[in-house]
Amino acid sequence: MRQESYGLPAYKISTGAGELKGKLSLWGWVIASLILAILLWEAIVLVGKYPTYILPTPMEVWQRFLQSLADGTWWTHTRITLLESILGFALGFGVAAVFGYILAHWRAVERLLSPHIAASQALPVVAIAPLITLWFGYGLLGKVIVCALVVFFPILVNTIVGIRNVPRDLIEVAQVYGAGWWQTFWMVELPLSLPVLLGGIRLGLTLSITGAVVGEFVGADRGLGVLLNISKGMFDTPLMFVALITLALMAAAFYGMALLLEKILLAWHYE
Amino acid sequence: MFTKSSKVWVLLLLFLQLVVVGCGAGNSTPTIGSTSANITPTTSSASNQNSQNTSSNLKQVTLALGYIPTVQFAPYYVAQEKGFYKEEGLNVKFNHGIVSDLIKMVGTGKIPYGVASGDEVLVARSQGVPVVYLGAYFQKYPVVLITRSEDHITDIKQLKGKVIGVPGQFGATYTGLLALLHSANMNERDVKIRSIGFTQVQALERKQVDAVMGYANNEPIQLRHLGVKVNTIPVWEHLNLVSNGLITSQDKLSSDPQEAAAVVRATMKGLQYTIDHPEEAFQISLKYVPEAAQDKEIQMEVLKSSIELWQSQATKEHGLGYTDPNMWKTTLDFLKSIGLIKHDVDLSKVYTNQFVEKSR
Repeated sequence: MRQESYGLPAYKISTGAGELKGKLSLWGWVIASLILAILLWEAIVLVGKYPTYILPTPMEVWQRFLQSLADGTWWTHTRITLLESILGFALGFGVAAVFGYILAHWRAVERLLSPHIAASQALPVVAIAPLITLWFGYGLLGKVIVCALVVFFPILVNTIVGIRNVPRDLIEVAQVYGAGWWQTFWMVELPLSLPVLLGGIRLGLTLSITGAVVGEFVGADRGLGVLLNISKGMFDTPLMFVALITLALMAAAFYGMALLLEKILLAWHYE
Repeated sequence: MFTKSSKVWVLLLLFLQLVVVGCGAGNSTPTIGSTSANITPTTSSASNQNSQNTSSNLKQVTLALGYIPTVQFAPYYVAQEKGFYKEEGLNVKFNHGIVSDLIKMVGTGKIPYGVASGDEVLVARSQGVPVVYLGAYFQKYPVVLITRSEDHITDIKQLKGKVIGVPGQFGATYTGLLALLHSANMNERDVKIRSIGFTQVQALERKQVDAVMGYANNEPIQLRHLGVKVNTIPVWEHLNLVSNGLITSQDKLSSDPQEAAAVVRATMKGLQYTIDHPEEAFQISLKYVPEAAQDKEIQMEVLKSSIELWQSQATKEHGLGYTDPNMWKTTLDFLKSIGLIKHDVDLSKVYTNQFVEKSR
């Protein structure tokens, strides 16, 4: 990779002198939109004269953040949610990718399993999470499994669509030239299905945070979901905002990292 | 994802799954936070009472009961069905929801009346939520610590180093645990607190924890019916905190004290009636909690043990709904000592006994 740009989609990679300027203006827009959002928020509080317990000002939330950072609360909880969602994503991705590959290739298996998989999506994770906690315990494993369940479906669907979209004749050509299963997969199917697969990863990564929070709501000692419940019980609305904004930033960071990964892996695709 | 020929299979399997799910639903036990809140009718009943008020000149009032419909709310259901609210010129509609949201909604005036715990009212008040406590419905803080009888735990001191399951580090069960530890000069570092969600019954039955926190009128009864012999250490015997009662907003109270008095009077009448006629109160409650009919034995026990918690020496002297000023002081001091309240709270603005004494 020659170019280095972070966080935002580059449908066309710029070159030369214009690149830096383009990047700056992109970040300029991001910052401008953030400032605008904060000003709007402040304005709503000012106009509506809302008390802190209903809608705190951005400054109150910022101060509460600094306080929670200083006393260690923030990192204690953020760390756990981060760990759960990353592990949950890894598990969900691993299982879904393998299943997706199998389902894409063997119609009979797909016909047997897909009704269950599709129907399972109608069950709210919030309702299943207490059962999972009961079966897998109150520790990390239970939360990781809840995360994995949320991540599973989008990855599965994208894997199937990705693999199915690989032109049949390309696979046949590879086989004519004597490529084995592994070579066909590694040199033809994987690279060609990658764009769709990576879209699934982007979705799955952001969803994994939701999964972690749902798991924490059921019963946990640490995590941003726990912090949300604690702050709610204490009527500490600024702290609730701190937890919510942290979750939002985590999702944005995951999304950005997935995009970066896409740009690295798909550099050939854009050129 | 599906080919045309597989559509039939999909439909067939989907149908089968629905049947399986439907059959399984019957024997699931309701837990807090479950979605069964919508099952019961929330509208006020057009009951057959011969009250002096016609429905046209009745005042529309919403009363948020919290949690989900249960026989524990029998006094309210009785007041509704026996026409006590109507006699006071009120047309009451019940609402259910998570309590900390209820308090905020009552504070902002979105809901005029609600049921909330005294300790939660104090915490809310310390964060600027303008709510006032009008009268107690529970006289004893209903949280208990539950252990298996075979472990012979009868004293709080014996809990040192033990694993105690709580739904989470929030709410009455957590506050109750801290109160027990506080009363024995211990703190949360002397035990191992584990957040287990609302799975206390299963966790204790399966010996995943040494003790759980629950409600005197719920988990111990459920456990005994599962054949688990349990001991309980009630919070009220060690540090009695102000428990559930009627609340309204500061604004509502000053703008319409007559209405507040009417709500308290009618509710206390329902409470008295339920205490005097538990069987009839149970039958009335079934209209709101139809699923209670299926395990009548347990639910009747829930109601009877609730009745114990609704009365005390203080109610014999001062009438139902009364709260002792010293109890408020104890509750506030305790909440300050565990750091749940950081600013001082003016107790004279937090509660009033004026309507309670009038309702006698």
